[in-house]
Amino acid sequence: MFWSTNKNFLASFAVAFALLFFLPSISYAFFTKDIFVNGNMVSAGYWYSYDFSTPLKASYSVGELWSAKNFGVLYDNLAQDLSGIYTKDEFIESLKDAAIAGFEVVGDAVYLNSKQAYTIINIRYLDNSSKNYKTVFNYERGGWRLLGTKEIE
Amino acid sequence: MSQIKYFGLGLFLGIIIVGTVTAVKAYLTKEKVLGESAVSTATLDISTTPQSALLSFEGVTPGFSSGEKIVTLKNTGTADLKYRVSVEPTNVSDNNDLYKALEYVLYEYDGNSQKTKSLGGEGFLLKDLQDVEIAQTLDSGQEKNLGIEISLPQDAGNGIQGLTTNFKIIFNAIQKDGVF
Repeated sequence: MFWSTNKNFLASFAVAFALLFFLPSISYAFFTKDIFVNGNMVSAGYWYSYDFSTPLKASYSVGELWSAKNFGVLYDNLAQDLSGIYTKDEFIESLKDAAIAGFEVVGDAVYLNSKQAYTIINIRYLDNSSKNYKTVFNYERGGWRLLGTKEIE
Repeated sequence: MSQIKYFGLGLFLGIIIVGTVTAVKAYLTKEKVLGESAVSTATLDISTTPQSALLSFEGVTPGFSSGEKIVTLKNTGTADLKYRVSVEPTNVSDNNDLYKALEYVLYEYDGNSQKTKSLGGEGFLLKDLQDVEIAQTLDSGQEKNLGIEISLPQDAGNGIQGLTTNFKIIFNAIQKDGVF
């Protein structure tokens, strides 16, 4: 009766057994060795042309490239006044830590003249914050190229 | 109250019983001297061919396959071993959408260069290739091939165009009777 009913006794016996026999065994170690095959690289080519034919389409293309952190292609679609300031590597380096979750183009494009327009792009960040950017485009090389962005309220 | 008492009693008896068994095991022994003995440890070592740049491809597009690339692993130690494979991006910036889109297949070979097993395929992402244990073990001095193929699925998004990723392949060896 005592043995069959007293669960505490059995539990404590099990604890003592585990402490004395099993716990020391987990300290056993084995010989191991790690080797590395470094220098593996894959780079993707291009198979899709982002649409920069209108300021609005260019805004979506910029948002997609920004969200995908594809700053190399984004650099290729900068207006000359902006791309002249940075090398491609500098541009990518300056943006690489951006923690972007997604984007939304807010409203329609506003034309400042026939060669310049802007849209508002809302960028959502991984910390659930978001910011609106006035995104200005210049018409160059047969499309609307990104001239710059400015955070707005 | 009585439950606490029984718990304490149980714990006490448990320790006494186990302790007694341990003590008896410790005292009822016999010793015999056999003279000088020598103990030396085995060595565990492994090498690969090639040592770097097994996978290097530029300008890949959706539907790309590297084809099977062979790495030869050699047990250069004195202990038999088994191993597992992982892949890691070289830098934080390499952990990008291209890296996350790549898929893999592993092909195991026996000592006669006969293919014995494949792991991975469609839906098996390179980023998830972590601590995959290879069934083929390597005895001391033995070498065997391992095939690795990577691919970019047809539905890879446009956003990965122009991206580059660098990564390392890690072989984690352990003595044959060891536990990872």
